Amino acid sequence: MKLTHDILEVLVLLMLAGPLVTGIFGFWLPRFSLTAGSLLSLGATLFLAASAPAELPLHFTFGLNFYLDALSVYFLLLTNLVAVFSAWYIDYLGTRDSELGSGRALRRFRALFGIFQLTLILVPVVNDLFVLWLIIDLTTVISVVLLLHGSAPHAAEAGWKYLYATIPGLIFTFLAMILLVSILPANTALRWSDLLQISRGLDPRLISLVFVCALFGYGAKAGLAPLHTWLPDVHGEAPAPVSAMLSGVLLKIALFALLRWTSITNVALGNRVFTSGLFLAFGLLSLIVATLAIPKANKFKRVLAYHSLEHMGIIAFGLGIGTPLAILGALLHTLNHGLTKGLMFLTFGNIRHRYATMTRKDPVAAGGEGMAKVEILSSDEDHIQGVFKAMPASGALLGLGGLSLVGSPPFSIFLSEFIILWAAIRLAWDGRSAIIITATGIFVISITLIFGGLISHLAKLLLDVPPSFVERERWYRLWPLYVLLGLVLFVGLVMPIAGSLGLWALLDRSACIVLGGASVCR
Amino acid sequence: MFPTTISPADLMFVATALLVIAILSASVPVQIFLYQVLSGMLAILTLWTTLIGGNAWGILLTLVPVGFAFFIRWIARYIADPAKIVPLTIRRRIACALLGLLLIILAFAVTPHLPTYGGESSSLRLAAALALVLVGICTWMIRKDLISQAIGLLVMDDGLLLLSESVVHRMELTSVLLVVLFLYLLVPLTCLLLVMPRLSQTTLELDVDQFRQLRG
Repeated sequence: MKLTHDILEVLVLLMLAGPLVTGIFGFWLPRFSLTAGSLLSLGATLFLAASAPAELPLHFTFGLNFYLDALSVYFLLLTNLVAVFSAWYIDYLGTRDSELGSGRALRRFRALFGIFQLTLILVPVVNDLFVLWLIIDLTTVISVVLLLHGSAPHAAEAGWKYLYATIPGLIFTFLAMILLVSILPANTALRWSDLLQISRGLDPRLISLVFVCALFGYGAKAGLAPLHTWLPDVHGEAPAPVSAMLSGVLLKIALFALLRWTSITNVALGNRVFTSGLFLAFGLLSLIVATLAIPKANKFKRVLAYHSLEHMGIIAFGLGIGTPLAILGALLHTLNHGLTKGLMFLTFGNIRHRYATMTRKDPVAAGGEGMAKVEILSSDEDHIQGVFKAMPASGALLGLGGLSLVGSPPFSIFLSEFIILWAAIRLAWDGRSAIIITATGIFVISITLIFGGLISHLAKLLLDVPPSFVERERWYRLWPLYVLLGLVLFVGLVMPIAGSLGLWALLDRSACIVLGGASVCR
Repeated sequence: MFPTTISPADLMFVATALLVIAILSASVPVQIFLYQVLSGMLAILTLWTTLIGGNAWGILLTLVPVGFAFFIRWIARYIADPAKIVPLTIRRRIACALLGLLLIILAFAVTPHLPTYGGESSSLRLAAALALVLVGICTWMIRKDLISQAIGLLVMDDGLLLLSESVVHRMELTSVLLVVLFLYLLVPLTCLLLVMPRLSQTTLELDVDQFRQLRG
């Protein structure tokens, strides 16, 4: 379907309208308004993704200067998909999960979540680098407020560590932008659409320096080692839907900003050796750190956070390999990891709440089916075992999600990891480069060890003997999580044989943009 | 690269950079006082250079350092009682001062190799801004009490302000930059007024080395 630019602009504004309305009026709107807003946003994005690739890039001004290309639409798809399920969790389970507060606090949480989603959606669509930097700053502010909103006892410490690790990086990114302004011709606005056109003539040494500054800034937000120190603390302490958004979306959104800088740097330098080398180094370091951290005894949410580090490492490794196939694999991995991590955090959030209820209070006396609002303590995680017996449906979701997370077939993460590995082996074979061969070896060893690490954590949670008091769960109430699991399976099973689906075309164009900007991909 | 004739503004850029050495190594009450002096100087510099640049909107930037200088004592008390903070040992003070000196030398050594918008005199401004950013980051990272870290964060922000002031004369950037800078203030304000006070209340500790609940 061919859409006019006017219709596309309306679609973009509709996409922003859902979270904007729930952000501003969420406090007063009825339950499920957050889910409805997220669904509206997702619907508009799906329409954009299905109909618009040929019409992009789209460039218009409506208060802000907007710029959408295939890469933007792809990241919008990821953001809105995870947001819909997180919103459902807040609307549906929020009335029971004490981490989200109750009454006015819960309504405030809903409104804040709407604003958080809005900032995450704005990142891929704004054209101005300064505005993008500001919005990334605002995602930090709002995620800290959401983190402190919960009842987690160490949330303030986690928030402080988050700011401690990310603020210097943001200042470095600002420095990068000022340096860039200084080398641009006068009267040039700092916009992606303009920069891609004029970056070819810029001083290569300075552009390299600017990229390094941006990499440190957005790399810290993307959770790449050694700038990842905030990751386990914040993901571990945040309420489940916030953890899902942080791990599934925020890390990728920071990566998106980095990919924009990568395009500009690649065009300015005339090759992608410099950016690929840095991504490869950061990717391998992230994989090594995650490999060392995951097998250690730890709380499960922290284990999941270290898994985010691993998967950001895999994505950076793919970007570091730098061939079109590897970049396509890395981009596909962002979607796969986002969906799987959303599933894991939301399922585990439900399990945590149910176990807190089981171990401290008789739910039947408190209103049946665990409706009582029981405060979740960090010590509750120590009691979580035997989930398969106690909560078969949630146990199955967690088990299958875990298998997906470690890259088992037929789940989607297997597909993207296989694409990246295949691209690395081909590059190593063709180029006979010792660095690529060594890096590929580290990659394989790392994901193998991590496989074992997560399986042992899952075995402890899922098997073993559950607490003496077992409360039955109504499996059909978790249907959105089955849909999410279905999506994870769909990408793994159907995507390889369904070449006509729009997602491949979107991915292909997105990879092309990362390599050299939208103008190359026409 | 550096100007051959020294103007009062140039001298103030150099003094601004040198002042941060003391901020890095001083005790907390002295740090607060020095930060107020630094912010005052920065406000004068901002006023001066934006007026010379002919961009009246840039004067709004003066509000940022003036505001923080005015409220810093209140912010520090809101986080914790400065008197309760254990002062640094002489050895650590000397180490911090030497580190600050090293960072300033680094900032002034690197600047001639960087592009500046606006000619020779901008080099000193860029060097001073870099010095502020580097020393601010160091104070943020290596000083172990919350109030010193808060001052480190504000020094970083002063550096950011000085950096943006170097390009704010470009008319097409002014409005965007001003809005961005003022909204960016939400980040330090979240840290200073939300996270740090909550942290000192819940842990009853001012020494960040004692925050060990989340290891593993």
